[in-house]
Amino acid sequence: MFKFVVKRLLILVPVLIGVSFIACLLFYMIPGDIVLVMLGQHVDPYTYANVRKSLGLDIPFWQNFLTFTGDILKGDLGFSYIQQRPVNVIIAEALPVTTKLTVVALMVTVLVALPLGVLSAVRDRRALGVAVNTGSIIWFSMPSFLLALFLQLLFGVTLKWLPISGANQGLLSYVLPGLAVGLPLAAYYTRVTRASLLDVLGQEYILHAFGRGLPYRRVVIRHGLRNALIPVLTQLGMDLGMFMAGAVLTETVFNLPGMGRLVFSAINTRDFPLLRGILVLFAVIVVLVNLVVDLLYARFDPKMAGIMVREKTHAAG
Amino acid sequence: MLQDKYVSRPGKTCPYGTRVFWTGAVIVVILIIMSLLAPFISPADPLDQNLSASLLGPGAGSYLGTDSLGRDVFSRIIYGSRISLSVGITVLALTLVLGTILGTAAGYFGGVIDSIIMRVADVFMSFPPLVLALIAMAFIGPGLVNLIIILVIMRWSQFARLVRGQVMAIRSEVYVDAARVSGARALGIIARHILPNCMSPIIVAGTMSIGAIIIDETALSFLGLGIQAPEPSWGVMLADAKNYITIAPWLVIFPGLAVVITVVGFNLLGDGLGYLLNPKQYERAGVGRGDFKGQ
Repeated sequence: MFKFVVKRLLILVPVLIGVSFIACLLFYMIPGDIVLVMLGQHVDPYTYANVRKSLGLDIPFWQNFLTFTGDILKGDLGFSYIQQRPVNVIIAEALPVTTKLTVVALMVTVLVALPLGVLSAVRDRRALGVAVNTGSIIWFSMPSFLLALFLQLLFGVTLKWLPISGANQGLLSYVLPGLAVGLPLAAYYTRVTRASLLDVLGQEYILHAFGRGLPYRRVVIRHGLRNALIPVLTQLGMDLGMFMAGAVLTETVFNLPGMGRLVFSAINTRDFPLLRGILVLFAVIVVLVNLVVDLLYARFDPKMAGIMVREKTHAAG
Repeated sequence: MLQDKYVSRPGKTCPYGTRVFWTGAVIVVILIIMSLLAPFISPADPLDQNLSASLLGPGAGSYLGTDSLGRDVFSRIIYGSRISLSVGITVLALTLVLGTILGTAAGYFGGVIDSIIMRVADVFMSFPPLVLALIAMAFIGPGLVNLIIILVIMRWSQFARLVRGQVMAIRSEVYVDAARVSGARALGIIARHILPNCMSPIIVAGTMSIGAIIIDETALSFLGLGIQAPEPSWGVMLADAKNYITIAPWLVIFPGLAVVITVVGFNLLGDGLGYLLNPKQYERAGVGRGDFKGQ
C-alpha cells in the first residue's frame, strides 16, 4: 500500500511538469506578437517592454518555463495585466459558482443513474436492458449546452417555472444548469451502474447469499450494490473534468457568473495570463482528484493496489 | 412494445445488435447523401439574406422558417451537415493515424518509448477536454484548420491508450511469438499480425467518437471559437438562435435536432458494430464499455 502511494505520487510529477510546459507554450503559439495582440498596435514602448517582461517573454523559453513551474508549485497562477489583479484573486471569485454547479450536476447524475441502473439490472433484464441501452445512447447524444437551450425553452420560456438567467435566485438558479450538465452524463452512468451490478450479481458470493435464504432486496443492495458501486464511483471521480467542462459551457448559456463567464470575458479582453491560469487550475484539479480516487480505490480494494503498482511498474519499463 | 417481444425471442428475428447497427447505418447514410446532394436538395442559398422575410415561422414559404437575417433554416441545416460530417471524419482520420502510430509504438516496443508516450498522453488527459480546446482556440484563433488541429490534439491520447492496450494484449499471443522466431521484422509483425487483430475495438470507439467530435465542433462554434459566421455550421446557427429563444424557438429546435439525430446515428452505428464485432464481451457486461462518452 505504501509503495503504491509513493509510486502514484511519483507519476504525478512528470504530468504536472507536462501541464506547465503546455501552458507555457501557449504564449508562443499566438500568431503575431502577443503583446500587440493584447494591447493593440499603438502601445507605447515603455508599457510594451513592461508587459513583455511580466509575461516572461524577455527571457529564453526554458527559463520562462522554469519560473512558471516554480510559480505554480507556490500556488501562484500569474498576474492579469488587463484587470491589474493576481489571477488567483480573480479565479477565487468565480470558482464557487462553478463548484456549486458541478456539485449539483454530480447529484443529478447520481440520483438519476443509480436507481435507473439498479432497476434495469434487477427487473426483466432484456426489455429494460434494451430500453436503457438505446435510451442512454440517444440521451447521451445531447450536448449539455444544447440541452441547456432546450430546458430554457421548456421551463423558462414556455412554462415559466424556473429562472433561466443569472445566479441571484439562490439554489433555484442552479436547477436547470445542473440538469443540463447532469442528465446526459446520467445516461452514461445508468449504463455503467447496470453493467457493474450485472457483473457483481453473477458472482458466486451472491448465489451463496441467496442460498442462505436472505431476502432478495437485501442481497441486491447490501451484497450487490455495495460492490458494484466501487467502479461507478471511481469512474465518477475520473470524469470530474468532464463535469467541470460541462459546467463551464452551460454557465455561458445560463449567464452564471462562474469560470465559464470568466473564460469568455478573458477571451474578449485578450487576457491571456488569466486564460493560462484557468487552464492550469483545471488540470491541477483533475490530476489531484484522480490521485484521490486512485488512493481511495486502493483503500477500498487492496487487491487493486497490487495490480496497479504492477501495471504502472510495467508501464515505466 | 413490439421491440421487447423481439428481444425476448432472440434468433427468431433480427437480434438487438443488428437492429441498432442498421438504424445507425440508415441515419448516417441519409446524412451523407444529404450533405453530398446539398445544392440539389436545399430550396435556397444558405447564405442568402432577405431582411424583409426574417424570423418567419416554419411552414410559410420555407419548411423550417427563417432566421434573424431572413436566411432559410432548412437550407442552412443541410449545408451545415457538410461542415459537421467533414470535420468529424477528418478529425477522426487524423486522430486514428496519430493514435495508432503512437499507441502501437508504445505497446509493441514498451520500455522507454512506452513511458514517454504514455506520460505525454497522461498530460493531455489531465486537461478537461473542452476547456483545453476552448482556451487553445482563444490563443491560436478561430477557423476550420485550427479547429481540426485542436480537436485532434484533444483526442489522440484516448486512442493511443486504447491501441496500446490492444497491442500489449496481442503481442504476447503465441502466433506473434511464432512470427518473431521465424524471423519476421517488427514492422512486418505489427502490420500483418498485430494491427489486423486489434481493429475491432478501434473501429467501434472510432465510430462513436465521430459523434463526440461533432458535439465538440458544434460546442466550439456555438461559443464563437470554431467555425465562424456566416458559415452555416449548426453551432453558429444555435449561437445566433440563442438571442431569439423567446420569440423564435424553432431557430433553436431544428438545428438542435439536427445535431442530436446526427450524433445518435453515429453512436447507434458504433454500438451496433460493437455488438456485431464483439458479441461475447457485450453480452457479458450487458452493454458496451461506453466508448461514446467524451462530451
